[in-house]
Amino acid sequence: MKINPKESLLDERRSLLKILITLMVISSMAFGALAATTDTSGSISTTGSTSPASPAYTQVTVSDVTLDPGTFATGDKGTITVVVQNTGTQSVTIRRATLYDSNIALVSTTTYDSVGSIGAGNKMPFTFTVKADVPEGIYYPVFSLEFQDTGFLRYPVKAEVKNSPVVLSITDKPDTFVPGKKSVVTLSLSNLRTNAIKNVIVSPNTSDAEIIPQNIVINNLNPGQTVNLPFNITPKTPTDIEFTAVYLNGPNTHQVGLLLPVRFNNDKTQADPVISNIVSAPDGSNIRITGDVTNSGLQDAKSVTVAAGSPAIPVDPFKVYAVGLLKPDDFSSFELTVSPESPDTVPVIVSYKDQDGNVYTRSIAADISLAKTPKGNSTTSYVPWIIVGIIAIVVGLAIGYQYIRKKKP
Amino acid sequence: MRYVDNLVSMIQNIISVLIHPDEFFQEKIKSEENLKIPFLFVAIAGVIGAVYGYEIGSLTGRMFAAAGAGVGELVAVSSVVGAFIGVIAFWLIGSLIFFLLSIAFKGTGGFTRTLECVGYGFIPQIFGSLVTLIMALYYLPMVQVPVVRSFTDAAVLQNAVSGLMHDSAMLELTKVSVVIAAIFLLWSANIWIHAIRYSRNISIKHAAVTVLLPVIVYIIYTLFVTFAGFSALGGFK
Repeated sequence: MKINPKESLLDERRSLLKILITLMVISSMAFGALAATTDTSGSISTTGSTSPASPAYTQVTVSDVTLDPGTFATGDKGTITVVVQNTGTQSVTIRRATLYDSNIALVSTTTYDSVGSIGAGNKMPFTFTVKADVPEGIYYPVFSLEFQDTGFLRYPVKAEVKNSPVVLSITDKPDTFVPGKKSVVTLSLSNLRTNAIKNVIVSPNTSDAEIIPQNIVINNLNPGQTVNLPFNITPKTPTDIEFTAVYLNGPNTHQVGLLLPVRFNNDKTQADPVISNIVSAPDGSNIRITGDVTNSGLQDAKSVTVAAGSPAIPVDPFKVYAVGLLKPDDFSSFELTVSPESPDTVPVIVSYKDQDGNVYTRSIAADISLAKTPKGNSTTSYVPWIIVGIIAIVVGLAIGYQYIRKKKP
Repeated sequence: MRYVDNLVSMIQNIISVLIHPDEFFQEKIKSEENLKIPFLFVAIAGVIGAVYGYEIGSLTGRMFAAAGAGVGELVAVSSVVGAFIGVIAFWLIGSLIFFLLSIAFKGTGGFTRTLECVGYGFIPQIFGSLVTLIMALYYLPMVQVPVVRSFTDAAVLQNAVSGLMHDSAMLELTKVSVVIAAIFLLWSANIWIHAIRYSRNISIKHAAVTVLLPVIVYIIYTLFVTFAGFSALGGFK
């Protein structure tokens, strides 16, 4: 096949033309793209830009916003940190950065009046201290970045102010408190806020009770979380125990309190030894006191002992009578020996221990005056013995008479 | 008139037994054996003893009254029956002892005759029981009675009984009654000497030994236990 040289030249020219047209189309598309306005952050203002090519500051965007605390309470101070990033290939000079709002007050002492340049690909944080001395609500303080040459970046920051409480409450406590008896009181701490609180310290405040532990620390309490706080309380006297939970909401210290009234009353289920059937009688040269001790309570009475208290003078063999364990509705007899030198009324003391080893005592007065009465004292009368003597004489005469009569002739 | 005559005759017999026992048994031995009259004397002594037992039993009954319904009454009835039977038993056992001891002296009379004659010797016991009863009525109201609420604890029971026996009025009554019993027992012994002499046909000396030996031992024992308080023999101290 033979090729025509004219046709070959014509084909080459056509190809060059195609390439030229293609290049022109591509170039026009590229320039058109560069001339268009770009908004990558959604809040960047490109005011004053007239160049067909986008200026470098347009590549500066807000990459992160952090609020501490996450949710403010009315009156809380906190920080708002805005991180901007230069996503372009040229450094951008920032003249000033600020945050402003008509409600949320800026209390920062540090200003960003002359920031400087932010290099290509770099990030730069701007932290502002604010005070949310406002009612509950959602506020939008505006972060504003002013560039050196021209242009601004404005970014509204969402800040929520909410006074949802942290609640300290009593979950479990005994029906009654007993002096010296350890009782478990369980508190609960609930975080009803929408942000986590930190460094929570729950501590009781009283000197009239021994409380273990002295305080409970919770590092972090997430929103909606509740923790139980058990305290072992051994009260000495009736008192009001004030529990305080101190926590941090961001940098702000808050506290909630709870008053636990401790009033003494008889434990409805505790052991209740009752002394009854007390009888006193002479026992040789001493006086013996006998009786019964019955546990009319609902709990065991442990290590039960019965003794005659002062001013009685206990003597052997029963200075103290050890009963031991006395179960509910069980009873035991006891006996004590006291000196006749003791007063007419002596206290009979029963002591026992509960499950925790706390010692309790009960006392009842016993009258031993009758037992102290010297033998025959109350009944000393010589009349019966005189009668007996007369009878003896009469009998003697009756017997003697018959023998005397017999001897007579 | 017949009853009056019998009564007069019985009084004469009583006086005769008390004042002239020798003549009484000398004549009695000649008549038929008859246990009715001696039993009557013993029974009278037993009834008076039962009344005394009732008084003491009531006291014990009061002590146990709180321990359960009927316990006090049971104790009182037991005391009455025990006291009456005790006197009858005392008659029988005493007669048997005298009868057996007199065998050593070659006594020849029968046991029934011995029983009859010894029964007459209980006449002083009637007076003795009466005096003791009067003494009891004097002393018992002064006794402080312990209360026993349960029989489950032996120690408490023992303490309560001990407390009752150590009551000053009770102790006094015990001593007085023991002395009275000893006096009238000696009077009875005097009668029993003559009773054994004739019923067993032995000498007066042998009869005295037969009677006085057990009686003196018994009296010494009761006096010793009551006053010296030898607890091993059942004393109170």
